Amino acid sequence: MRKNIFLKSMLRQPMRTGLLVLLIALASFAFFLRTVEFVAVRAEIRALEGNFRTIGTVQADDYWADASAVADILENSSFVRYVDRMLGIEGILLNMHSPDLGGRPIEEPTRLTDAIFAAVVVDMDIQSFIRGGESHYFAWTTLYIYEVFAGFPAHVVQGQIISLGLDANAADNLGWTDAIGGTFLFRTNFAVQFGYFGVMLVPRVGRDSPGIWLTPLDGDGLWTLPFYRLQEVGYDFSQVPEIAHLAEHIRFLNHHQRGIYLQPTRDMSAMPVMQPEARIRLGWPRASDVADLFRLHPNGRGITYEDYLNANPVAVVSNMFAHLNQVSVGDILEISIPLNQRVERLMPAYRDFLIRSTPVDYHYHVIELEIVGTYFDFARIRTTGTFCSSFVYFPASLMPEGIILSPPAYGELPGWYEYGHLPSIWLGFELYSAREEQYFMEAYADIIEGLGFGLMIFEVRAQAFWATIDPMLLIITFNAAVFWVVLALVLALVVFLFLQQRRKDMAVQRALGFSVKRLLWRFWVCTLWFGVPAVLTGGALGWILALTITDYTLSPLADIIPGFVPAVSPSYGWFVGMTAIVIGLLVVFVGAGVGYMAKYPVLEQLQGVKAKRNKATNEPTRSVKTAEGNEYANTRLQLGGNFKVGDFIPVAAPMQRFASGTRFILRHISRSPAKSVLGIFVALFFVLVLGWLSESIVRTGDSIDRLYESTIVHGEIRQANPFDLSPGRYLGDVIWRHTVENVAETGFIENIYVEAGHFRSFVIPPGPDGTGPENWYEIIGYDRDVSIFNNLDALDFMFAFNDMDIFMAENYIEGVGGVAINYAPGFGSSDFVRRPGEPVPLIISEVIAERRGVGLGDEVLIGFTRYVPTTWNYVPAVVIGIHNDAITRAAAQGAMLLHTDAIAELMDGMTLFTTFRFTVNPDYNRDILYVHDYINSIITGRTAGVGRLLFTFWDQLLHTLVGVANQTLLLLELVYPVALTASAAIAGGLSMLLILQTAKTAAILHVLGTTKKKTVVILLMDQVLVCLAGMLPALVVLAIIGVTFSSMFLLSLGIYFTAIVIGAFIGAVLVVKRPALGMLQVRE
Amino acid sequence: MLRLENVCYRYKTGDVDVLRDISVNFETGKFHSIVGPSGVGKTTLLSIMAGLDRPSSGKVFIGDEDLAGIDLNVYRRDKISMVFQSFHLFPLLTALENTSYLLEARGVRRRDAEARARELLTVVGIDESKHRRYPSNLSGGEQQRVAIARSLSTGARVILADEPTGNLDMANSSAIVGLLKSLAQDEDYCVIVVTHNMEIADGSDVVFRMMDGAIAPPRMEM
Repeated sequence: MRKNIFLKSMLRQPMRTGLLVLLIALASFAFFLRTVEFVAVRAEIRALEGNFRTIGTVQADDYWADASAVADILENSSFVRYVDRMLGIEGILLNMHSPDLGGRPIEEPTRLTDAIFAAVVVDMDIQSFIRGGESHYFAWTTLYIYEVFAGFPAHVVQGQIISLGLDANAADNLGWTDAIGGTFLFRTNFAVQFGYFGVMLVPRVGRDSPGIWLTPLDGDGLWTLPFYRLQEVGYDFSQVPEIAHLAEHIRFLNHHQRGIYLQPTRDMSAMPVMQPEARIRLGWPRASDVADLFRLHPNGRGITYEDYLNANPVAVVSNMFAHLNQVSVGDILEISIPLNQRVERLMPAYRDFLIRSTPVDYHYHVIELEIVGTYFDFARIRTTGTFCSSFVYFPASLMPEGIILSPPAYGELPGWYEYGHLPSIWLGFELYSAREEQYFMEAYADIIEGLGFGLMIFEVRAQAFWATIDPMLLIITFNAAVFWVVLALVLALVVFLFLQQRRKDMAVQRALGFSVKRLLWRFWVCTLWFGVPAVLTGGALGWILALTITDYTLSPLADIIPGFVPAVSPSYGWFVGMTAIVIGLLVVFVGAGVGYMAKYPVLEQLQGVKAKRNKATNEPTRSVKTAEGNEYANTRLQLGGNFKVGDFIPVAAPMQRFASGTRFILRHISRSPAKSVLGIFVALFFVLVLGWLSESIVRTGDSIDRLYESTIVHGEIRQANPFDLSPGRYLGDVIWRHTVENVAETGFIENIYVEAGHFRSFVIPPGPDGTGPENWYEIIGYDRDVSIFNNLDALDFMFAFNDMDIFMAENYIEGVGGVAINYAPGFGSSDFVRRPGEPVPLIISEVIAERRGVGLGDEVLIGFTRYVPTTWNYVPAVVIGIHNDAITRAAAQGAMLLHTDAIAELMDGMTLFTTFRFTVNPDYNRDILYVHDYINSIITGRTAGVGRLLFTFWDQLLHTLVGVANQTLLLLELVYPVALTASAAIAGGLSMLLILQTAKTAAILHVLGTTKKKTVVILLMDQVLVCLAGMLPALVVLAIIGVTFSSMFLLSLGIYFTAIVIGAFIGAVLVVKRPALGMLQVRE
Repeated sequence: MLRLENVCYRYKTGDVDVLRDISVNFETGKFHSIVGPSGVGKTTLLSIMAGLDRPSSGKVFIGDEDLAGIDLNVYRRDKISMVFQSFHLFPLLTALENTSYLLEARGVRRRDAEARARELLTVVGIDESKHRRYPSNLSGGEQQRVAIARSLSTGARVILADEPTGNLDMANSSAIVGLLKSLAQDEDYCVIVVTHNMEIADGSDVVFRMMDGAIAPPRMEM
């Protein structure tokens, strides 16, 4: 350090050095702030992308239809990131039993499994009970389980003492009265039955024959195995002819009990059955079965695409599996995968399906999977395609090669049993970009349809998400880019000033014999000494602030995306990297500057005289002696004629004085282009940035207003449990009329759509006098003596709704069509209303028209009953139209359609609605949470519906759009003051530094008689004009592109300009305060 | 022309007397030299004479006017002019602009100021072809001539020169000294040169030798 002149000079000019360090720190602060924000927000958006991916599937009429061909096409699509085929295979748990062969949970009453074990009869007690007035006896037998040959650990554990109730006669037949102390072979089923707590063992002991019933492998007949004292046979069943085959039986039993259904996946979160909308949107014929497949992750995580890419040995099991096998997240499953997969038909009966297959040619490919999550499997998987009892998900990349199919042992099986067959319900795919969804559909919808499948994209609002995220990304990217440029500019300027101040030092050292290389090294050392602390300080502050800001900025997204927790924690590698970038830039700029300075001759720099370049001769260009010798031989004044030096008397003219000052400033500006252009560019740049940010704030605010005004929020109220039996009349009539009215009258609702149905009704032509005919029973084929439920075919179903347009839209299927209504002459959809005193306008189906013999325009009667099935009423109606039955809801197909007002009138106001949907008046969108809570309070009332009601409020879009727009606004509002502060600080600092460079000029001015005040003004105006020269074009550009000059922006301009004035003023004051003569004299 | 009476200067810390009871009279038409070793107070004396500082006690007169009663900025602008060892021209102004600057600053029309500057540059020996050159494109001697021309532009009759030949070779030095002498002798200027150069001192009309903040009696050179 002692030898480093540059370092010393830095230390001895604390003001200048401080300013340079401050500028580096400021630029680093802004650079770190914006970059960390950019990185963190990008990372969070990447995390959020998962919620807004475009995930699709295909659907077919038969949901087991083979979708392999579709998968092949999609896999070759450039739009598709991956296709998840999910070709399930069987796996065998090693050293662990599966909890149940049928996947039934322990609470399942029909849960019966097989177990074979040896037990010691510990005690036997004959007990009796009274049933039907008769005494019954049974033998209460206590057993000590000696060894388990097959069975579940949840029920049969070695060393356990269990009790069995044996039929007393059976026990007597078996001669068990003297069996105490003996060890016998037992076979039991296990069941949890109503009225009992815990597990009950149901002994499978022959009532009338002394032995165990056992269904043999081939399913024929029934084995009755004699009881043997196992001590006598030494556990070697093969030695006893009657039970020789038991060993094989037990082996198979164990095998099946440890069988699981291994479900490979590329990304569990993208599985069709995992999509919340699947239950609603999938039009699969067996939608309820599909709905059963929904799985959630109450603990741990699912299989991710990264798991697939990295072939991570992980698994996700059902929580029941984990519970019964006493495993949890972190435990390892050891599973063997038979190379040769078997396929067999599953039988509904549970007693015999255990031993059905012939497990031949088993090749065990053993994998170990770590449980990383459990799913809540609240459904029973009845149809799995294998015997596996439980689904275990694992990454598809772990699937062993060469899985082959064994021919079925028992007859032909449906295709979906076969390995390699890809049922449509499993096929899922994800697009590379949610933004390409529309193009993808255009390109593939027809092709897929041609194969008999429908292409379906799940509604994840991906396009809306990106539409709102894109501006946010643009802002943070722009901000980052701006401050990267600022960093480069500021560092370049700092280095320029730093080197400029040390130009002479360098020249002197070069003259003293120091090499440029060595000097460069000294410059670098100096740069690092002051640069590194500045970068670290500014960077650390920027880092901390960025984390706080970004965390705060992103936190409200949790309201939009359930479960989203901002985790803004970029790696410290970023800090190191960014520090390296800033230091690297400093080093490079210093290197370039020193290299540039090194081009100039040392003497030239020391003398402050430019060499004449490009002269061909070697003549000394500045040889004063040569030049002077000839030209200035005369050392006297060159006076000619009457000229006297002192004759000139200046005449003062204030305006000229002003013009002179201006000229001086303009000359200064125009003749130092590097500095001026830099100053102009900085001003131009910052004003453009501030203008753009300000405009973004204004526009985002406007777009939020527009979103609030234009976004339609829908609500739906329906039966909470779709599987509940309908207590109403039909079609799940569950919503009371007063509930609809209460909601409609809240004032929040713009319009409502309701549907209702009634099946105790029929259409009949009127009798001659216009009343109902007496013999309507015969006419419609109704049997009054049997239950109405057996007469449904004779009746016509009434289906009512209140809005024809919505009804038509609801029943329209893209590519298929919708309900077509043929109106009677003189009638149209506008006549589908209920006008008191007039016949009920009715639209009947083609089927009704045909079987009742009525046509368009006919006057008919609607026969119906309200509460008492035997009391029938009639109302006159007119057939205004006939529809083609293309109603998507199966239960409403073939119905006669009428307005809900009409059905309410028929039902004497006691209508129960099936469907109730509404839209919220956009005026209340800003209070949407309150609206939700208010309506929710209505529908949760005890009398709101016949059963419990479920309120679904589709305000997600509003939250998403407005939420993200709010985020953008918040981000901008946070960014703006930071950008303004940084801009103002940097611009002010630059002005000050540039003025400090003009200290000598100020001293000359002062010596020449310019007052300090005027000197300050001249220096100040120099910077102000440069600043204005940058600001004005920027403002013109902003005006041309239509930026709003909001008060905030104008205020910012004022602040920015003031910062420059203050910086310049401080610099000018500092400069003029310095002793002029000291600046100008050569020190002795 | 410029008269100092019992001028003393003490730093504000009050512990060092830099100038002690200096009384001198600088007359028009004479070429004065102030010589003395480093640290005797020459620069302080120069500052006071140049109106850049005020004495702790004593008086300075320009003609009959006491400097205590006039604006020092006006004094520097109208009454005296300075020439420095390092010339100190405005680097971004041409020779002509440097010379005309003070005139323009006083409100003289640009055309007139430049015409006057051209005359002055010619008077000090700068060829017209070099009037539009920047100081960096002029030799040291030429820069100093431009500096002298600038000092002549205002009509101030006192020229204070601080080592005007310090950065020049012998030929240029003698040329500049010749110019200054010519100003004193031909144009009746009061020229005061602070210098170490004994040759200049020896050629002066009046030489003041400074020692320990005081000035020795003047030695008239004949």
